[in-house]
Amino acid sequence: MFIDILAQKSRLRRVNTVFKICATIILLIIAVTASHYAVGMLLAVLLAVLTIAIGGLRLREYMTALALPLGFLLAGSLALLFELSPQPNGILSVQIFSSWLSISEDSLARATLVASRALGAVSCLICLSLSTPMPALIGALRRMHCPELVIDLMYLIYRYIFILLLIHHDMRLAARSRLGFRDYKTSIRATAAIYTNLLSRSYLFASKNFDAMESRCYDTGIRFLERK
Amino acid sequence: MMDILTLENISYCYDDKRLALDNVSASFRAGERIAILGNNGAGKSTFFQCCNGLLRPSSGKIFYKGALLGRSKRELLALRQGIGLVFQDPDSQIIAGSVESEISFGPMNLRLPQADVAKRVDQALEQMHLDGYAERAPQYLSGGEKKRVTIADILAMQPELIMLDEPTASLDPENVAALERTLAKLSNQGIAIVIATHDVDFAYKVAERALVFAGGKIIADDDICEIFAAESILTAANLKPPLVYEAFKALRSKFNLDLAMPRSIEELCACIERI
Repeated sequence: MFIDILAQKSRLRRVNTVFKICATIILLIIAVTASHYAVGMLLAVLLAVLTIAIGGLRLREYMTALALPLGFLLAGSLALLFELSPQPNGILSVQIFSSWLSISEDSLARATLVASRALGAVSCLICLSLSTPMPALIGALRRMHCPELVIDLMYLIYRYIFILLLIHHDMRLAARSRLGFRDYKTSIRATAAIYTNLLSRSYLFASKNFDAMESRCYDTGIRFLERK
Repeated sequence: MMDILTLENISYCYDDKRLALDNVSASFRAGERIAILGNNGAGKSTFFQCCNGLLRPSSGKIFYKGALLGRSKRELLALRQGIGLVFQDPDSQIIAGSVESEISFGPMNLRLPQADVAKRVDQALEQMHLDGYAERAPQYLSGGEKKRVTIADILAMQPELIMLDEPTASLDPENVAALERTLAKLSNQGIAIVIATHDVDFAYKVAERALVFAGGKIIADDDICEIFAAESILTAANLKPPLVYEAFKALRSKFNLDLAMPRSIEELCACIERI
C-alpha cells in the first residue's frame, strides 16, 4: 500500500511502461551476472538517485521501501560470510565447542559479491515498482502479450488488495473496540473470527462485483482505455 | 411517449422457494423520475437485477423499447447498455485502478473504437465534475467521490434509464444535494431515473412517481403525493410520510391553505411566508 502511494506520485510514472519493464529486465540481468561487487553497488546508487532526484520521492520514503528487502539481504549475506572449519583460519575466527566459525578472504569476497548482486537486483525492482503504478504495469504486460487470464486476475487481485485490507482493518477495529484483543486467548479467538469472516465476505463481495461487471456488458477479458 | 422498459407479470424465485418477486408489472418512460419504496427484503434489489438482465425472471415478459426480450446474448447486451445499474456500495462496482480506466470499462465492453471510448470517458468525467480525477486511484477517493465515479461509469454507457440502488446511503448532506442536482440534470436530458431508497424525504424531493414494494409485490404505482396521502399503502409498506409533507399537511389543516404541495424545505418555507 505504501509502495502504491509512492508509485502514484512519482514523476517517472508517465515514462513509457514497456520501456521501463525492458530496462528493468536488462539491468536485472547485468546485476545478477556481475562478476565484480562494484557493479551492484553502482546500480543501487544510480537507481536510488534516479528514483529520488528525477522521480521526486524523499530519501526517507525510498529507504523505507528498501528496508525490508535489505533486511533479508543482510541476514542472507551474514550466513554466507561465516564458514565452519576444524581450525582457525582467515581474518576472524570464533571458537564454538570443538570447531571454529571463521571469516576467510574467500568467504568475504563471496558474501560481498552475492550481497552486491542482490542489492543491484532489488534496486532494479524497487525502482520499477516506485515509478510505475500497478495498473500501468498490467496494461503494459497485456501489450506484451501476457495471457488474458493472467491479466484479468492481476487487475482483480490489485483491486481486491485494497478492498480486503479495508474490510480487515474495520473488522479488527470493531473487535478491538469490544475488547477482542485484551489477552492472548481472546486475541487468538478474535483473529480466527476475523479471518473466517473475511473469507465469507470476500465470496460475497466477489459475487456482487461480478454482477456489477456483467451489468456493464462484461463478456470476456477485462479491458480498459489506454491513452497514447 | 414510448416506454423504455416494460415488465409484465414478472416473478422471480430464489432457490429457497420463496417468491422474491410476485407477479410484478411496471413500465418506465423517457425522462421520468421514479422512486422505488419499500422495506429491506421487499424485492427492490431483485427487481433491479431483473430490469438490467442480471437475473432472468422465472416467469413473465420484459419489453425493452417495445421489443420482447429474448434469450440471445445480443439482446441481453443491448438491455444492459440501455438500462444502467448503479450499485449501492461503490466498492462492489469499481474494479479498475484509476478513475479513467474505471469509466472506460463499460464502453470498452461495448467494443467501441478507442477514440469513441476516450470521448465518452471525457464527457462522463465532465458531467460528474470529475475533471482532474482521471488518473486518481479509486482506493484513495472519498465516499462521495466514489459514488460520482460509479454514476459516471454508467453515463459512459449512454443509457436511456439509470437505476440507482440506495444512492444516498453513506453520503453526507452536501453530497446528497449534489446528487439531487445531478439527477435533475440527467432527467432534463431525457434519461429516466429510477431510485430505490429508504429515504422518503429524498424520494419526495426528486421523484414524481413512486412504486411501493411489499413482500415481493408492487402494492402501489402512482404520483408520489398520492402515495403519501394513502394511509393504507403507508401502513402496508411500513413507510412514514416525508417531513415536508407532514408539516405542510398540519399547516394546511390549521390555516385552510390553498397552495400547491411543497416538495422541499425551501418550498415549504416559501409557503409559510405567504401565510
